[in-house]
Amino acid sequence: MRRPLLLSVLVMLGVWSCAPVGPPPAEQRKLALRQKESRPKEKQPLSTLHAKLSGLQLADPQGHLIWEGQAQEIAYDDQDKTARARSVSMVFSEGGVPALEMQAREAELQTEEKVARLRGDVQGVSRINRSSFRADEIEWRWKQNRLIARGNVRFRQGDSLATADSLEADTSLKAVSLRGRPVRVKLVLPPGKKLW
Amino acid sequence: MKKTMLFVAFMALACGASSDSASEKKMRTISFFAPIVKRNQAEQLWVATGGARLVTSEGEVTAKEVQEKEAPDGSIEWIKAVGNVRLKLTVTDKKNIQRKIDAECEEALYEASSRKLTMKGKEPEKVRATVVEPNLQRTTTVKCSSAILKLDTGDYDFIEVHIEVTQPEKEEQPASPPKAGAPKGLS
Repeated sequence: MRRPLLLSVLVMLGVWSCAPVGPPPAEQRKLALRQKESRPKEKQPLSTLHAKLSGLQLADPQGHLIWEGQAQEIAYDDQDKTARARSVSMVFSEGGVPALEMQAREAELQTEEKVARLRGDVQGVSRINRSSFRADEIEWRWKQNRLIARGNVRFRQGDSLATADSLEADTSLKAVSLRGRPVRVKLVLPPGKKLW
Repeated sequence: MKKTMLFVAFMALACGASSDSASEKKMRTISFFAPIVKRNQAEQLWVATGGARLVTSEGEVTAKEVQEKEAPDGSIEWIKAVGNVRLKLTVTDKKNIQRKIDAECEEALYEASSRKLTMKGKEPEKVRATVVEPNLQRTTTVKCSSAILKLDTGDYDFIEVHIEVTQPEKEEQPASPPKAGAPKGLS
């Protein structure tokens, strides 16, 4: 069995060597602190890993993609098998097929449970039917093929727009359930068409 | 030369603005409100439950549950309302005769292609409909088991009519109650 760390985090370091001019003293202290944090302590197992400009990827034992993406900053904790990332851009898969493009300010990715939690101006676009949504936060469970979004939810499908407090859906946004007080849905009829 | 270019630019802007406003005028929207709304993309279906209200420029429908089926072109194929249904609509037929419909029933189905509104009640007399025709100066109030209103032609079929009141507002004509069970066209 492969280690989840190896499966989950592909680290591409390039920032440190690229800076042509040395950063100001305050930045140098921060960098030194980060570099210190990123080094494993002696005689202790690797517990955390910090990196910049990094890629993320997780696949199931059969090699089917679960998620992949990029983030500006990632910290991986080997003890709770969780990656924490900032400014993330990801794709969640459904049945091994990339189905939902996601963007958020912060992400917490549990590699054992295959659960992703995204926070901060979360945006999602289905690659299957081009439905999209925005929310304050989401939780996605790969095993259940279930997405739950909460807070200022705006769901769009074609010209239709729905606003709600929460949204539950499958990964590709084919079946969506919205809850609110109340949910407001606005449908636009094609030009020239009337209802009654 | 500069004046010509300015004139062309001005005309282009003016045409753009007018076409935008025209398209906005043509755009019709349907809004609905409910505590729970489900969207099934494969079936092109919206289902609003827990007490739903559907609002259009022609009026509104309230019910425990409202379902909306979309046609492939994005228009509405049918609307179904179930449980404590209340309809308040102002519609016009092909001859441009306006009708105000105020109805209560247990289940209502509106088929957009034929502009047919079918209302059903669980029990006799559970469908109540009032149709006001201002052009014809006529108000019709009916209690029946089920009703079919054809909005294009203004034909109504009331099935198992129990009470019917026809009130001419100006012309005084005696109202003749229809036989129970016989469909009746009133327009």
